[in-house]
Amino acid sequence: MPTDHSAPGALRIARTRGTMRTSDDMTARRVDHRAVRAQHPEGVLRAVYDYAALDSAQTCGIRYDGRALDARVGEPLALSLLANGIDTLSRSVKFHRPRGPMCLRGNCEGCLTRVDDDPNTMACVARAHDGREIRSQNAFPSAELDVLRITDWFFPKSFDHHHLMVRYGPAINQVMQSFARKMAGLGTLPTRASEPMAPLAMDCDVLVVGLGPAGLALAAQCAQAGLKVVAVDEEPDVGGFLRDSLQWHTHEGARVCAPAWCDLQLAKLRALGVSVRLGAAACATFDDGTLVITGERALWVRARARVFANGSHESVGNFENNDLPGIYTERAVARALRQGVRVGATVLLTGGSDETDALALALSHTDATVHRVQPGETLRGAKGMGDVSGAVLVGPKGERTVSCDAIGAENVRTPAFELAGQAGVEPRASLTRRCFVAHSHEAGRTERRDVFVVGSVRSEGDTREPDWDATVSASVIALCKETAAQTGASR
Amino acid sequence: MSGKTLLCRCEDVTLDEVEHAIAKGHTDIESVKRFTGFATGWCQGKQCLIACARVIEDKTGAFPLAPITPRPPVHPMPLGMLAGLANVVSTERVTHHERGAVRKPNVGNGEGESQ
Repeated sequence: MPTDHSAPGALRIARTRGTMRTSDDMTARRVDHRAVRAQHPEGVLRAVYDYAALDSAQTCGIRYDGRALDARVGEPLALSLLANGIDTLSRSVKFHRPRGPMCLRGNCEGCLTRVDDDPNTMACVARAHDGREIRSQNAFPSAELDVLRITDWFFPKSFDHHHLMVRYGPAINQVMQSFARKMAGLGTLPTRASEPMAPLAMDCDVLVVGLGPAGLALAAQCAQAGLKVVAVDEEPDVGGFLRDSLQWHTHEGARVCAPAWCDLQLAKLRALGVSVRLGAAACATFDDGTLVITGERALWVRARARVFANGSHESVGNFENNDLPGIYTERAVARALRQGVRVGATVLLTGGSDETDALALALSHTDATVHRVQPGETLRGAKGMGDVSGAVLVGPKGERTVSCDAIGAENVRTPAFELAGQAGVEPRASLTRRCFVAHSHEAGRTERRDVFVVGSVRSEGDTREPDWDATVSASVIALCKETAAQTGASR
Repeated sequence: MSGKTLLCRCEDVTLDEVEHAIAKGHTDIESVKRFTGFATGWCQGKQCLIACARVIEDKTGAFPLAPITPRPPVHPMPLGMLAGLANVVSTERVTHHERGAVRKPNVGNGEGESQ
């Protein structure tokens, strides 16, 4: 049986001005953090809402496909749109199936929109400010009602465009190609060409890529030893997966919520003189430098040692209609909630961890109805013509259908081995975890002398071992000193 | 509802297509990628690589030994930034990720210095 956790009268849901939907469609809403904190001085709810960064956020006006909407200055545009009940932002390349935000951390293609003049902008990365103009992509006449959706119905199983028309001879093939070229592609070009931007060169002893718990610890250790450290993370804030944790954490004996803990670590790094670049994604790495892109420009970082602490990718797994708008990773649901947006009025959570429990409780206090999967049950598929309207669960007692307007699917986490792989660290299959990992030896060492991997990207989760960071940083420090002695120069 | 399971969201590759590829004898990741086009879109495999590997294991009983070759860029980047790299040319060197098959981008000292 579905569990209903809703607590009566727990929260006021702030209505936003400028909403164009009817109340039936208004599935996602703003959550009033201050009200929760006032009502819940203790416990997990307080842990969720203790981080009050958005309380002081100013309201601004944005436009989506010509409609005026309210947003909070500095929040991801994807959340501004969700808060206004808009979860369908584009159409997929071939089938024109509806697409919406899914990971909310810049890893998927779900929230690609045209922002101001830039096509294919991730709305979960771009931030709201007054006058931003967002347009849906790859859809006619609109993302919600797109006529080319017939492609999806015309090819009920798959559409293998690589082999579709090749057997009928060159003439038909040519016609199909010219058709396909008109149809293919995402977005349309910007009205102006951008100028080439020369990268900014940075030299350091250690480059740390990824500032989750592993990267934070290692960057601090290296800086304490007097090394010049550059630390980058693709997210606008530090903490990695931990930032979206809804549990309490401890800092110097005091209980703090996860994002507050992360910000304390950031302050510590900065106090130690670490050059921290946020919103900075490492894109490519070579023996003599690593290319990092930020919103403004590229960085070319030359380091004696490279430490890859860039964690894991997340997805929702394979189930029927797993791509519908309204399906998020569980972490994305938590992230949205902490930033003040509830992803739906009736939310199905398929995970079974402590974090899932905390998220269910927190969501239920926003007047959302929360459904959980029962032991032995799995998510067979999602239902919905546009966005999600329900889910089918299969368990020992058979099948049941749950009506919901959002699904927080259990995070499928897999190591982000790609960058370490570019650096020459062989990706290996982990048969027990059924994924690929960056292969490492003891203490984060790899087959490449100047490359280290720490955290969940490597074969073993080292953050569980005591003093792992001191062990790894000792190798990094030794390498840097050795290289400095050889070249006779300090960076 | 059409009931598709999307293994690769970016390129609209369905589970059905991948199973078809496996049935045709493509039982390693690289072959399935070339046959179906999965992992060639916006996310470059961040979402779908593992989904495909697990389907191969389910169908053949063996988890694939190697993923697709990790190539730059890991994240989509503006063409202006790529063009900027070409303007500060240094020597061309071979990278490890490709075992000699791909050249590094031409990047020098930055800040408009050209050589």
